[in-house]
Amino acid sequence: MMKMKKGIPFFAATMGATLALCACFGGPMSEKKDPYAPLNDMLGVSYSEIALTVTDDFGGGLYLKGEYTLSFGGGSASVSYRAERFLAVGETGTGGMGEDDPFSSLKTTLTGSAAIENGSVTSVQGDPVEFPALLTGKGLSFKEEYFENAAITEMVFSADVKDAAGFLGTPIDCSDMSVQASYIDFFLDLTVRYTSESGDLVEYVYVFTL
Amino acid sequence: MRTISKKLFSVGLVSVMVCLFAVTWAPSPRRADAAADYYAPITATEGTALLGQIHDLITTTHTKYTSYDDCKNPTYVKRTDPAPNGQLMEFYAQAELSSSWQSGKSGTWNREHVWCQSLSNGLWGTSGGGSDLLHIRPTESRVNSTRNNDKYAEFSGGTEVWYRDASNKQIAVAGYTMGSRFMPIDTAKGDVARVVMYVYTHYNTYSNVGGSTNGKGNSGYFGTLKFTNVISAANEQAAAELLLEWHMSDPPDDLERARNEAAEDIQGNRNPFVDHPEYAAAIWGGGSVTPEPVAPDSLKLSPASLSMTVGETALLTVSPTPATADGSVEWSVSDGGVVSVSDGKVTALSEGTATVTAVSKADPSVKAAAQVTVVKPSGVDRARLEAFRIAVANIKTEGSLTVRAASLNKAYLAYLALSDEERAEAEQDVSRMREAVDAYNELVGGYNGEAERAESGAVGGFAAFLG
Repeated sequence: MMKMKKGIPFFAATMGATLALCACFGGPMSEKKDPYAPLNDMLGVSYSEIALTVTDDFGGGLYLKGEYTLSFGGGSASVSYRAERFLAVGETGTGGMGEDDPFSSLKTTLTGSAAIENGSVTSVQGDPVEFPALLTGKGLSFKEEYFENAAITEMVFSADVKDAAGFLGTPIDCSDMSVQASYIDFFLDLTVRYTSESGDLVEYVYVFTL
Repeated sequence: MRTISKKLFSVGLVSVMVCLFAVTWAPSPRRADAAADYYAPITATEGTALLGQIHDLITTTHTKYTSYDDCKNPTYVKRTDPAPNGQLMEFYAQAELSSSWQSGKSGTWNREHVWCQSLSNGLWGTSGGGSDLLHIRPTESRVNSTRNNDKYAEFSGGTEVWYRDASNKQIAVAGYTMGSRFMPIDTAKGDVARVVMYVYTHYNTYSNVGGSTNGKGNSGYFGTLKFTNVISAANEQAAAELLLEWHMSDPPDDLERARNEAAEDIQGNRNPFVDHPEYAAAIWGGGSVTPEPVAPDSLKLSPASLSMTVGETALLTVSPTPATADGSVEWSVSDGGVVSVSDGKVTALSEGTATVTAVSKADPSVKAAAQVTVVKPSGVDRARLEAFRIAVANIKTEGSLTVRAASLNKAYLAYLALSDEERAEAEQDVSRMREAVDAYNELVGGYNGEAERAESGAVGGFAAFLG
């Protein structure tokens, strides 16, 4: 486990739809500190693993799930994945990932892994899956202009996301995006939910391990 | 001085330790790889049945009964009890010992009967069990003499027994004595326990251990043995519990594993409680084991080749050699457009030739293949045509996706089985089928596309952590 960078401790209270500055810093209330700085600092913590689960819910118990794990070790990074896809008529597959999924027989599960070195995906093994946004996007970031109805406490951040592309660091067509994160001095988990252009409900859950 | 409370010997604690043992102590991959085939006949999971199978295994594979002189032969002993620089490992002190054989001289070594001759009910002296390389261990002469024929025991206090060199210099503590009892040091207790369990299992008559054979000849080497012959305990159960505690507190080490390799090479058998420590609790501690799957030497597919008509299905079965080996496989095809395979079920999709390969999950280097030739049907078969028309009539275009998919797959497979003439005659049904299939494929393709976009966006969030 790599040494963790300490986040800047802060306290906050919400007043309606606006953010209030932390009183514990003391000093005049006119001093404006970026309340999102600690969250951005937590993006820079050296996690050993970030596990991502993406669920795309089409309604009626029909969904597709993908699991992506970003791991760090030995100075390099890798992504391992399992992702469900529906089979076309006449195709055979491995079934879905969920044991109690009534639609499992209609699915196959793609599995594989890829090493990431110097910004490039190398040594892909298993079923090919592309990661364009991983390589060209900027990734998650926290800025006031991305959010509304935001609330930040010692351990929880929640907000409606009004600039999804800015927050995720990659273009995305969606509506009603919300985010909730729990943390101490590093992220514990972060959940993003939205409705896609087609109307299905999408959820991302990131779980962080030091 | 080490102090152990006798309360630790309670059945309850042993039971807890057995549970922890069963959960946490799995055979190491190296041990499993080295001796996996040796233990292939062991299919029992617990108790007397397991003990009997082990007895049969280690007696029938014991093809060479070494002599007492063999037990001081440096060619053998340096392999069964190796230490650096060509020395030996003194059994009780677990310290280096000169390999020079000068029996009886201080600082040199003797052949130690871990299970003393006088405690063997007369079963061995210096032959059979009394010269088994997995039993007889090198010990410094004075340690050997001090231990004498004391039973092993657990106690507090006692007098230290030192391994000393030829100049009487203390090298290492080899154990403790109290009365007529001997307690090994902590790092030798497991070694002692596993030798005792081996001797008990091997040299008992099969009727005592639930086995079916006492090996090939040498029937005079077998008799009735009890742990209380060599363990000081209130009864047989207490003796077994003490052995289990020692066995678990001091797990097998590289020395014991090296000894097993040497023993199998020299005399043909192995100490199973070194390779599979979990066997002990499964026999005497109320636990159980799951027989370890053994990788096959080869696989055979039946039939070896297939000739099919488009739309037909056939089943390929896998037979591993040996028959008790792990027969689980991963299936693949050389041309997924010609055939598909799932759990050995082959479906002929289109005209052509393909190879279906089964790869052993236990050892991916072991595989078998079957050639499949698919031909198109020809002519008009009224029954086949009617089956297709019925399948199309039963296509579901609404409702549960599972029901829709099942009806479409049935119709599609029936379509694949048609000859060109039949397809021409059933043109309208073919068109209806294609329309329904295209609609379904478009629907699920849309779902797949949504999932890909969602996952791409989510994975894009990782970029912030790539520095």
